[in-house]
Amino acid sequence: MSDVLLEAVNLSKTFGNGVRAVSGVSLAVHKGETLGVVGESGCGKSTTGKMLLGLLAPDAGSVTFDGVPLAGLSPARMRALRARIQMVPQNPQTSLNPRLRVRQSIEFNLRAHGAERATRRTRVLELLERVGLTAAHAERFPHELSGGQLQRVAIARALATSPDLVVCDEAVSALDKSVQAQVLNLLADLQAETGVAFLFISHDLAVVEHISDRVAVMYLGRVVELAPAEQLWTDPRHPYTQALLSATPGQGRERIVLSGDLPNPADPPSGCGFRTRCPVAETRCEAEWPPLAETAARHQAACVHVRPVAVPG
Amino acid sequence: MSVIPPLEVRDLTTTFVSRRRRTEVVHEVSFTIGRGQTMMLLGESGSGKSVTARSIMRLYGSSAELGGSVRLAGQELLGLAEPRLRAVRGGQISLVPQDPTGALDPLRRIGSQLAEVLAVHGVERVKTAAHRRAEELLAMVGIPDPKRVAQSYPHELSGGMRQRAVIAIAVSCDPQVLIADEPTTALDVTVQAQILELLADLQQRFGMAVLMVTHDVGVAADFGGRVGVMYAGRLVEEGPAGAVLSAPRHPYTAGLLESLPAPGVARGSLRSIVGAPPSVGAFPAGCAFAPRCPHTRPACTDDDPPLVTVAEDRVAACPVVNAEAVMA
Repeated sequence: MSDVLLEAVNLSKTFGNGVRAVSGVSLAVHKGETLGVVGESGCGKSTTGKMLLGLLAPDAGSVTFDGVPLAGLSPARMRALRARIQMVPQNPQTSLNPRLRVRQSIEFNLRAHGAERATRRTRVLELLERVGLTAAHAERFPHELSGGQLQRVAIARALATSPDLVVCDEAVSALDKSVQAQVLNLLADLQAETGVAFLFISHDLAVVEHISDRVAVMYLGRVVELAPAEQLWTDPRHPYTQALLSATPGQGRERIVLSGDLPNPADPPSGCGFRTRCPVAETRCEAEWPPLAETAARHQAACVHVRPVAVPG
Repeated sequence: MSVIPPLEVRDLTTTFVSRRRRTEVVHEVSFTIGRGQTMMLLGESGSGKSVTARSIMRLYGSSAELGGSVRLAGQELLGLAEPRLRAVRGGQISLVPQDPTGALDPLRRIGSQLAEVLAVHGVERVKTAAHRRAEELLAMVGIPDPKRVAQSYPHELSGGMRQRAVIAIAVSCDPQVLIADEPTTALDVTVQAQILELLADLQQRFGMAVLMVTHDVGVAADFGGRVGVMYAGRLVEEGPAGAVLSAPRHPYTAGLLESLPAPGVARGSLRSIVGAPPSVGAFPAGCAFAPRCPHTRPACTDDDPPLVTVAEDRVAACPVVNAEAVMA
């Protein structure tokens, strides 16, 4: 039996304003692993996350969770599935109801997925303790908590239904670094204990590399590189990944400064979308966006300069 | 021979005042920036780094009481009358804020906003000359099509281009001091690299003293110069960026550095700092970092530790561990 938990094949999404947010993205999250998705604004990482959560219908392509295609599920079955796929959003100030106590926010999720009234209260306290909060926090309102505490509440709420997968969309980006480290440690501990899988979406390559088993790098709606986290960090193959890594401050790498801005996703360049900023672009790059090709074991990149290798197997 | 530094800040204290209360957010911050030199103020939210920068330009008006001294090329800014201050701001000292969108007038073309600054400060009073100079400035900050951009409205430009336009305005009157308050925080990382390179290049060409505010240790390390680490409204450590960020002497600086994900640190084993930074207006007594510090002793909660010299050219405000580097 395969250990693929969530599989997306050829996902595409174009919005009404002509923005091609996602084009032909295929990703798989395995049971108990963390797949990182990294990219700059407008690369389609959040749109991909929403489609994987079933919050947004793709124009083309399919999402399958534990063998069940999300498309065409009845509302009741979709709700049942949602207990197994939860999310931790970026901004807990806006994702938690300001007029509900912490306990009520978490209970809400438990109740929505059919937990008995009698067990709910003890379960809330268990969950709060699990994320490093106390019973005293249960009766507080969101505005009484710090950003780090709120994000712990959001994590507790996501874990309430014992999900198999939690999508974290910029879940630590709004936090101060000293607090961010606490939350990253917490996520790692929870995964070690419960075997939950994470899809970790972030613009911060250092954070993604740290928390993920594998990382997908997105640019202009496509995955341009997919590799084990450590390998991506030490041996990036796609010129965009190389530039992104070199631009991450404080790494002591020689900086590759890309010229220009990200292209407008409503009017992308022909061929490879990165060619307008790519330091090694050639005429042949104008023809088509190269497909992801195996460049080392478990390491794929979408660039004509990347030498494909025959991978045994 | 004594040279007057472009910016000299002594015991700067900022207290926000409202009818109901007084909140001290910056406490006795001192530093000096020489010509062509850089000072990075590094800290987390609520540390007072931006308030320090904005207090130097006296941007809070009557809502804040300022104590201490801020000398711009020898001229005291605290107490300077408002009309004189207006001539100084944007002229001898200018600001690049975090959000370029908020810094630009959405209803006016970029070129005319630049020309206005040149006219107000008497650099180019003739309209046609001012517009020509505006285009030159846009070209200087690396805008590829300055004629078109001068005719554009802010919303027609990308975030990176808008920040370049704001930088063009900031350097238009040849300032001695440039304050950059998180100038790249709102930008994508590849665009951030471009803007930091531009600022370094302009600094080198014009010999400006640069005060940069950042929460990003990597930016502070890369941009270089000196770094002042702020916590709870105080400077807790100051010295050359390379030395401070590779061998910190204050436990907060050390904790901040150890919080950063780095290659080789196993998942789940980041050395975070316990707790969260204190809220503005609720800074703990004594050493404000004591409640989160792994080296706390009873005496730490009594006194506010002063900055003392801990190595050549370096100061830190921790009597417990300042004798040695504190990072493991």
